[in-house]
Amino acid sequence: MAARRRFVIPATVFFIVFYLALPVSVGFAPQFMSRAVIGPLTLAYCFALAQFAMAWILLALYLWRARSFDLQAARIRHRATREIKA
Amino acid sequence: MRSQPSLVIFAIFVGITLIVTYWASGQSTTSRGFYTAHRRIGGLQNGWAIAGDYMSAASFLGITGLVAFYGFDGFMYSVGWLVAYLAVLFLVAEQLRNTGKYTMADLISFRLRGRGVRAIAAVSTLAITLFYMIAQMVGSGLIVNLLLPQFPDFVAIGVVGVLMLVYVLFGGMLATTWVQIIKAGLLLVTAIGLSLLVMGHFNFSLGQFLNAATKVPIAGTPTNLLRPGLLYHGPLGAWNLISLGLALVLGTAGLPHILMRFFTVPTAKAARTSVAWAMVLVGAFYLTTSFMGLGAATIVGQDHIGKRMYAGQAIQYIAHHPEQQRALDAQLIHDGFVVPVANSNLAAPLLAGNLGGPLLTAFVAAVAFATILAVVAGLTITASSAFAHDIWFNLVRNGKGDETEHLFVARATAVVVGALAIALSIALRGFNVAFLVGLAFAVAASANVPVILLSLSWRRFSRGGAIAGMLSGLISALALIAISPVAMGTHAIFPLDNPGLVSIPIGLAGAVIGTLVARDSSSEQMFDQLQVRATTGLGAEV
Repeated sequence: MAARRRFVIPATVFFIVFYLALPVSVGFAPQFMSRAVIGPLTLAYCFALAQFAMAWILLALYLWRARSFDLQAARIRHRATREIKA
Repeated sequence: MRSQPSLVIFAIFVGITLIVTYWASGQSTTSRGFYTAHRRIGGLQNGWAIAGDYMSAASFLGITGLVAFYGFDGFMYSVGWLVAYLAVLFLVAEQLRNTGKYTMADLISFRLRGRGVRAIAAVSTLAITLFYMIAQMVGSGLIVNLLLPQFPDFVAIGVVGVLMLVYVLFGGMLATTWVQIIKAGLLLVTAIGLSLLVMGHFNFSLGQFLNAATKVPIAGTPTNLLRPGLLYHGPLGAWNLISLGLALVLGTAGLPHILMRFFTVPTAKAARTSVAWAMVLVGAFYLTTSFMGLGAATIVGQDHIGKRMYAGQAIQYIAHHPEQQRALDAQLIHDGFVVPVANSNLAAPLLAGNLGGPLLTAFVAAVAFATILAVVAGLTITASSAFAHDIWFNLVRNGKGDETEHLFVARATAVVVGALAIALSIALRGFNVAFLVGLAFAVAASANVPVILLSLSWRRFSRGGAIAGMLSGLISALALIAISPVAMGTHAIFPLDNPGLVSIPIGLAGAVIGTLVARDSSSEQMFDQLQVRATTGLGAEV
């Protein structure tokens, strides 16, 4: 439980901050975000596409970490059922 | 004449889904079967179904149109709606599967045992699903109005309403799930196919495509659609973007019809797998909105998308005398009517027509119609569970009553909700669709999400807090929208289109203040039990 929270809380804070950085930067620094960086693609569009990458990377990280949460949960369930039987 | 291929394709979709419904009808004979398909949907299937439940007409027609008209600013919707799934993944999916039975109210009232809590949770579910449903059905009327002008829009609303009731009444959650899966597949193939055709138009050169998007003629001047600021500009625009972003990202985790899908899988692990698949599918779809939207802007051109919407005879008239549009507008203004603005929702079907001829337009129109149908079916079953399970079974009958009664009430509610949605949608025709979807997301983010999160994470959180949180979130979201520019135009008292930035903190503050005022020792005692069950699945409903 604590292990899951140690991953989920920082990850949630990170994705909310990373996401809100997009409307904040686009809203308050539109000129800066309009600069073309990759060919004609603007900084704003690159940042928006980076959000897709960010979402998928966090998803993959979580799926990878969750395997150990599942094991721990299964162990707890197993112990609890044994205690109830005993 | 042009409408026939569209009708044929749509009829094929309806035929297949009715066969599925017939097959599923034998398995929906208990309330568990009716609401959750016996919790036997696999993670992969549920992922597709979530995608099908989520990618609405607003996503397909709406965002494509917004990108075609406002470029980057329209794409902001796509970003928010994908990132939102991280909140679902981390904060609600697995916990909900482990603690709930049929509804979101089950999770909240797991430790907050009170009739008031469950009643308000059910009311907010009903409010959100009804707003969302009306938005979708009014949208179906619009599509038919634009693509098949020989049919009046209430026919479309009626057809959608009756079909969704057939799926839900006879096939329950199992049929609804498969309708959503089939539709998600169709929509994804259509979106990717259209994107490939767009790229083909530019000889599969990304550079050529993007260069074309930097000089799209809008009202005579070449405009760079890759730049931000075409829709939201100035300091007010910035706050609008932030408020909208917050509501999109947090609202999804509080949408009852999405949350309900997590009760259809066997384990928390399958719930997680389904979010993962949904994120892959939804993400791929939202990426294509850029190709479809920018493609429509560059290939079709905005001047040709901006077909205006008129009611009744005016449609026929303008179809035969397009050169008279300006005169008609002037006459309408003179007569005291609000002149309809350019409608961007047609971008996707027009792009299809330009790239693949009338047959492709017909296909895209039929897919858009199927999209709406799958979403409203999911909404109907959610509303039915909130009334039958929460209000009738738990509150009115105090948990008594047998299966036959439970199922009967569930089906009867579906009919009532469906009939209500059809009637309201016909009454609210011509209402701004985005306004209704905005209501649904704002209420979900402000009323549901703070209470779901606090009940899962804050030991002291009390019944008083849950009631105060849901009520303040619900009321502030509704009130702020009522005085916003979306409802009041230029005379608006509240400056932002989306109330999220203000109403989400109000909902949270209501929950915290309510908790500090009214302590609740039973809720504190239940907290550990909830935590264990939410994370390990010990004692979860099977």
